[in-house]
Amino acid sequence: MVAYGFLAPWIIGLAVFYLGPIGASAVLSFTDYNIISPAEFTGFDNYEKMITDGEFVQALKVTLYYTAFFLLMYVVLSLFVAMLANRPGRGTGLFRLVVFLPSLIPLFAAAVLWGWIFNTDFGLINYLLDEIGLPRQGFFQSPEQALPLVGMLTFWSIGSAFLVYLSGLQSIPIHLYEAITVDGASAVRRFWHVTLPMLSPVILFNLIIGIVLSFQVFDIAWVLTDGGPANRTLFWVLLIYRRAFQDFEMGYASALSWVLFIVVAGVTGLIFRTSRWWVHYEGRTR
Amino acid sequence: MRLNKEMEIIRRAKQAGMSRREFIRLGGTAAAAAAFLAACGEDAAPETTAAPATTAAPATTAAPTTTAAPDADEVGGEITLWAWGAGFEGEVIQQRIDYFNSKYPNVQVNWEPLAANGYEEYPNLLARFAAGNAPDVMRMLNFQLTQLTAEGEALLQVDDYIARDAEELNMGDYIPTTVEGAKVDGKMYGLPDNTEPYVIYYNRDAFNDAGLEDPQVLFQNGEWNEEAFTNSIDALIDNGMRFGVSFESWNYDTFCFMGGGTILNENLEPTIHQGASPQMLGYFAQLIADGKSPSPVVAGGTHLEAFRNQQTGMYLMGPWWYGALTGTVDFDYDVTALPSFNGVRAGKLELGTISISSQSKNPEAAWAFTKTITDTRGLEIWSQVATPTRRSALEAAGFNDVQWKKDAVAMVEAGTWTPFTTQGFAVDTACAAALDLLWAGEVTAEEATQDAANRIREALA
Amino acid sequence: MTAPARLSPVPTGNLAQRLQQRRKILWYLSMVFIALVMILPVYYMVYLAFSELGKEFVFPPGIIPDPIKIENVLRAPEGTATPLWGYAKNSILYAGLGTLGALVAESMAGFALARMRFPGRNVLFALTVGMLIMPFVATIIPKFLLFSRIGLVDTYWALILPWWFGGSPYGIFLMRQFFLTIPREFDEAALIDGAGPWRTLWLVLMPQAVPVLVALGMLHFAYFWNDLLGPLVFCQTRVCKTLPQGILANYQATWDPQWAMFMMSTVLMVAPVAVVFILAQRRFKQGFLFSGLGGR
Repeated sequence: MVAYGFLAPWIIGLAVFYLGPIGASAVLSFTDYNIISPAEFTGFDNYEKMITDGEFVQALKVTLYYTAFFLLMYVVLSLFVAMLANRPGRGTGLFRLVVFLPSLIPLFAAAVLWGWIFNTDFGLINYLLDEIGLPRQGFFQSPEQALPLVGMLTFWSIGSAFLVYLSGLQSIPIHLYEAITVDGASAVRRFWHVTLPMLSPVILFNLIIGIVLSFQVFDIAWVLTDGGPANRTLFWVLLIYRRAFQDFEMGYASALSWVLFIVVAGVTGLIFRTSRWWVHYEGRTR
Repeated sequence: MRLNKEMEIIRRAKQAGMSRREFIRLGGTAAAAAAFLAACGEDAAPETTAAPATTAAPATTAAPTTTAAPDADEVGGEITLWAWGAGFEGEVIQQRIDYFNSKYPNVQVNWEPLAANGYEEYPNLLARFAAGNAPDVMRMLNFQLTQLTAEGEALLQVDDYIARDAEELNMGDYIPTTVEGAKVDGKMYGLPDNTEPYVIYYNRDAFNDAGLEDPQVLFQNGEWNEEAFTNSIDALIDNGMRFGVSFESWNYDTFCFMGGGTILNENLEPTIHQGASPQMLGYFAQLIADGKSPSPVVAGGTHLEAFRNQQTGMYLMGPWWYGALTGTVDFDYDVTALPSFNGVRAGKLELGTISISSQSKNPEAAWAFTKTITDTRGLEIWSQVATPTRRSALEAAGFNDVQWKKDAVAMVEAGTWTPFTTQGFAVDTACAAALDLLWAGEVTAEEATQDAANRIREALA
Repeated sequence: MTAPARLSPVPTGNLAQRLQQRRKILWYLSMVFIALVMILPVYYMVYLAFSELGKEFVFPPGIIPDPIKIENVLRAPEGTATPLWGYAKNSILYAGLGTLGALVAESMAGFALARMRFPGRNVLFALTVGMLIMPFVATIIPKFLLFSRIGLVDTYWALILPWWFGGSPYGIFLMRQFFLTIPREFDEAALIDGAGPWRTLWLVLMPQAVPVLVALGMLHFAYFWNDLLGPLVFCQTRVCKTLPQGILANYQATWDPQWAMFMMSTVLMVAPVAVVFILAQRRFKQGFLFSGLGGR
């Protein structure tokens, strides 16, 4: 029973800050509640409203698009970068530092910096394009370019995924590579047959964290684009924030966040389900 | 009380055919949820007795208890003031409090300055209303009046107080537009405090260099109109300025008003696609398309910086930057009214009121505070940082002796605004989203405003 | 691709060397390219931080600021609208107390889950792992309503308290995994010596956990330090606003960015964390490696 003593803070925390709120959020999602007046039970109204709410549909699209981009950077490209950094050679230590450094810069500040560098009229990039004779671009001010640009810039925040991969790569036993190299296997084969399977648990980890992170993107839209132009960067969380803390539709915002929770839980659940087919667990300790 | 309400929800959910088990599944763990809700309720319960918003009818709190204003030294007790104001603005607010105390020595005013502005702290204000400990007196932005009255009669309606103290108040002294801005459904929910019009900043050196007539002079001669404005833009650019004028796209409503257009009518139907609005928005979009104005910024602030760094010769904004630019620029600049379009001179007006919470336990002191800091002297003090709402205060503060301030007051007289609704933010973001495509040059003004009108209808539905 | 490679003659010494060489050059080029993509924006940020106001409109920008404005270091914290010192104090309190409380709670929970048998352990562990995927925003509205009811909004507690009650699921999970790697003989020996589980945890196991605690602590600290949404919702008055809010207040609320000051504020905010991170990573390699944040 001593165990409960050690766990008491977490059990209370779990109840009060996790399960309680998610339950309360579910209850609230069936109400109309503006903080000042008492909540009113409205059944499934909020959920019905969601289906016809153009902004929600837009936010859903934007968030999914962003997630795809983010996962490409966070899960795929960061693996490539980690493999570059895993080769012994001069300068790799510095390289690791340089790749990791940007992820220590808070997102709000990075957003402002990007906004200025990519500013249509006064930005550095358009100046450089001008210099080399290419047409100037709208970037964040262009409805077509804003979201892809936001997605691409997530490359800048791959630091933690990169380090996780690096430690994973370093724990792959060398003898596995030696064995397959003796067979005369090419680099590509070595990657497919040793690196990837040995790394699959780490990939799963980064994938899950990546999904949870990407569905919660907020800072860049709040600071830089305010969801624009033309709602092309209207992320789900920004929509929740607006409905909850600007329009004070706590009921509707709760419904939005509940659906977000369900989607994240569903997607990660699905990935866990399929992981038995592609994640290779060997009796090894990381 | 609030707990009962939550429990009522759960009870009704059960009656609606939801079994307990289903409910558990729905909420994750109902036990935790119930404990959570109980925690919400327990603390709220004792406080609800102090919250007239839910226990007392608003009508009873609205009426003053005496037929004549009590003598100043009869008014006592404490009141809490909710107002933002950092730095010098904060010092000025303190001066107003001191002025009030010189008249009402027995009232203690508790003021804890907010950090930034009335937007960011607003959810916190609502939370205090919900918890039953709302401040007595609040500095409000006019869209908040609508929200606070519509969602639970949170504000004290002061018509009866105004009627009682009519002689002392002299309501006719206020600029009429500012009184209209303190009303919701024709009833007064505070006294007009300050007002900010939209104006044009211009780089006087650049105007002189380009051989242009000074806009202030043009305005006085009644010639500051679309033609003069367009000419100035072109001449500035011809003379080496990178852009003629810069503006923030969130001022789209100002653009509409400038030519006599509107966004919403009194019946809350969208009008942005009618009248002068499409024409005006088209005019400004064309400036961007022609490279005469920088693209609307996503990261705010660069347009002021562009003006400061002589990238643009004019800047359309509220007059609040006048002081901030002094000392940070090495050229001569000034401010004048917005140019007239279609023979109309109009612009957006931002209004602030001093309002009283319906939860106030000391409404008499709160009212005394409200009317004192908005009297001629109170507003004269305030004029150090804001544009006051009484003509007598404008006179006393010398607004009529400084040209740019005179021009700014002319914009107050000509000011207007979009009718406020509880969905104000949603309407605003809907318009902004539709017009982004116009600024990007992808649709015409007609298409963009038609789209905006549809989105407004959706937001208000 | 592999088939022709096998058919082709085995490269002789010279060719193999050249191939090796070419691959190495390609490898270096990729590294240099990626490093530039990563570091140039940071450099531009530092460049603007040390520039004169208005320098951001001057093109081409030049390699180093001209003139270099060292005094920006002192001017930026004074703020263009509101000084940053108070916000910094709040951030230090939030990040410091949050990290400390989280580490204690996570160690306790991780220890119990790793070492003790009790009814409901598996359920609790499954719930803990499940909470890993709980989006912060999904619970934010009820938390805001709860905290505003009990008067915790606009106090440090609204930010810190959740972390004192158990920390993060990730931290608990990590600490449990770590305690599992320590042979049981350690605590059994301690138990025989008459130490209770409480003393065993603090006196026997925790000293060994220092590298992991440092890594996890850095992770928490950086999260709190950079967090925006949490303070945005729970701290609306100056009493507990944090550094990101302060920097943004200077930038956003006034629509008057003064780029040099904004960039310098950010540089000053990031620099201490970056330095500590780099030093700690050197000093406590195994900890960072274990927490999955390991470099070398």
